[in-house]
Amino acid sequence: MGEHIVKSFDDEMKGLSVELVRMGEIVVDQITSAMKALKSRDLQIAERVNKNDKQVDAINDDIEERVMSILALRHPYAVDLRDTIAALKIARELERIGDLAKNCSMRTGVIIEDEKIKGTKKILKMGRQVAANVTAVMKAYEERDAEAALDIWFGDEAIDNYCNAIFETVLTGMMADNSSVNACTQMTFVAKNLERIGDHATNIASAIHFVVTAESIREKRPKSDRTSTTIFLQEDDENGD
Amino acid sequence: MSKIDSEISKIKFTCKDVRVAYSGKEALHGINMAIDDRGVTAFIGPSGCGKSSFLRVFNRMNDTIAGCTVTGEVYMDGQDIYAPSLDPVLLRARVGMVFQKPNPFPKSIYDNVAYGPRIHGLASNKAELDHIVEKSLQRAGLWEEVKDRLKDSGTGLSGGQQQRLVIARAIAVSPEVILMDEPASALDPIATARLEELIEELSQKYCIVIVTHSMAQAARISQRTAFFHMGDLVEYGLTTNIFTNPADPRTQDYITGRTG
Ligand SMILES: Nc1ncnc2c1ncn2[C@@H]1O[C@H](COP(=O)(O)OP(=O)(O)OP(=O)(O)O)[C@@H](O)[C@H]1O
Ligand SMILES: [Mg+2]
Repeated sequence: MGEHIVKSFDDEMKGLSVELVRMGEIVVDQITSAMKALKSRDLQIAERVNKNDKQVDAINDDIEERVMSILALRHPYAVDLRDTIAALKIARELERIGDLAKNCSMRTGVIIEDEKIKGTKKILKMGRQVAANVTAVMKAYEERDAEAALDIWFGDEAIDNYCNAIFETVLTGMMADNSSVNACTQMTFVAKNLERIGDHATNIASAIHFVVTAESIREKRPKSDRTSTTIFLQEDDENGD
Repeated sequence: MSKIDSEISKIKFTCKDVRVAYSGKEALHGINMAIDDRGVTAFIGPSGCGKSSFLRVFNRMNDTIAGCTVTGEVYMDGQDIYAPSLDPVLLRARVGMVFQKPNPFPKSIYDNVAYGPRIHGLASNKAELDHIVEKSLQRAGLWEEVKDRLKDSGTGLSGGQQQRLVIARAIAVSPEVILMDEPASALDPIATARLEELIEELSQKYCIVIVTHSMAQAARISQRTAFFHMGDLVEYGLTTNIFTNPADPRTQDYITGRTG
């Protein structure tokens, strides 16, 4: 795509993008650190994740301001409009992901008190997968890669499966030894948080897909997924395209 | 406006392979398009792409320009407006035009508005004429400002008022269509907003075609937008689609302010 005739407009759009990519990097770091705190039973790391969340919130505020100014002063249209609105959406998703990472780290204290807790390995594995998804989705954003966004959107199922497996392990653990109920409960919350991070990553994927193609990602559901195709086909019919 | 609405809405004009040339040099290269009755259709595109030339096709104003030739077919409500039997003067009473620079006649406000109804014999007495003048000024949103000085010269009004006077003059003959060529280019934001409000109101009753260089204005007031480029109609569709997801890269470059 060509450059804007007004160079400062180009600079503003690029600046917005760069800031969002930076926010993504920090958020991924937050997830990884939260997992590291759990793995190495290190409360200091958990505390740092907690503190760093303010930085994520601050970037979100900054992006909101930038978007507002672009809308008010530049009147973006077409791909610029989609890009600007997507930045707002993506920042919000990243901010939520940051909150969830922080929430994970806040539960670390209780979990690591329990020496015998089971399922940590699975959580860590899930955490790695989730962090990888967020990294991948932000790379897809940076490259405006609709195909990659689509892959991430379809790949979310793997994370849901992780979550179910962890619930099973943890519940079995709780039934076998009720002294670990506290830690196990926290563990299920962590798993749930990670699952929700995965959902936010798919929301980002759908925003990217919209920026590039101006089409909703939902229209792309694979045929094998019967339940959802039927629903979306109905919606399509109503929209009458 | 959804697709369903536009399907229900009637077609006012149908153009087939319309070409406009000046001294043999073609400025519009075979335009095919249908224009909805009721509502606002916006023409956008870079300077010199042929918007004004095409607008003048609909009331045969190009006939008045020496060296200008129009070929192709143009139907208004199914009637060929370039048929030899058709009187262009009568056509122009049905298809009014408002220009970029307000051009009131050097006459009183009253006479500016009464001019059309007089020459077309639309009023049989003074009272009827008074009524047409008042109603037209009211619809143009100018009545309150000028009702006490109808005898003052039209050229003594402000730019925004003059533009509304010209619109009152255009609607006084009860046209079916109003063509507007950059009507707001000399107006301040308040006068522009008033004009846009007026256009929206008029669009309930009339077919309005507007040429504008303001993307924001086209987006605000029209239901359909046509993008012209170097004498071709590149893209034509619902305004929402054109401004969120144009199909042609040339449209995208133009509305987003990119170098092609
Ligand atoms: N009276 C005329 N005599 C000769 N050529 C003309 C005349 N009017 C227009 N043209 C030519 O026809 C082409 C289209 O002009 P037109 O005025 O229709 O463009 P436009 O899209 O309205 O431009 P703008 O946005 O600058 O008003 C241009 O190349 C112009 O030079
Ligand atoms: Mg023009």
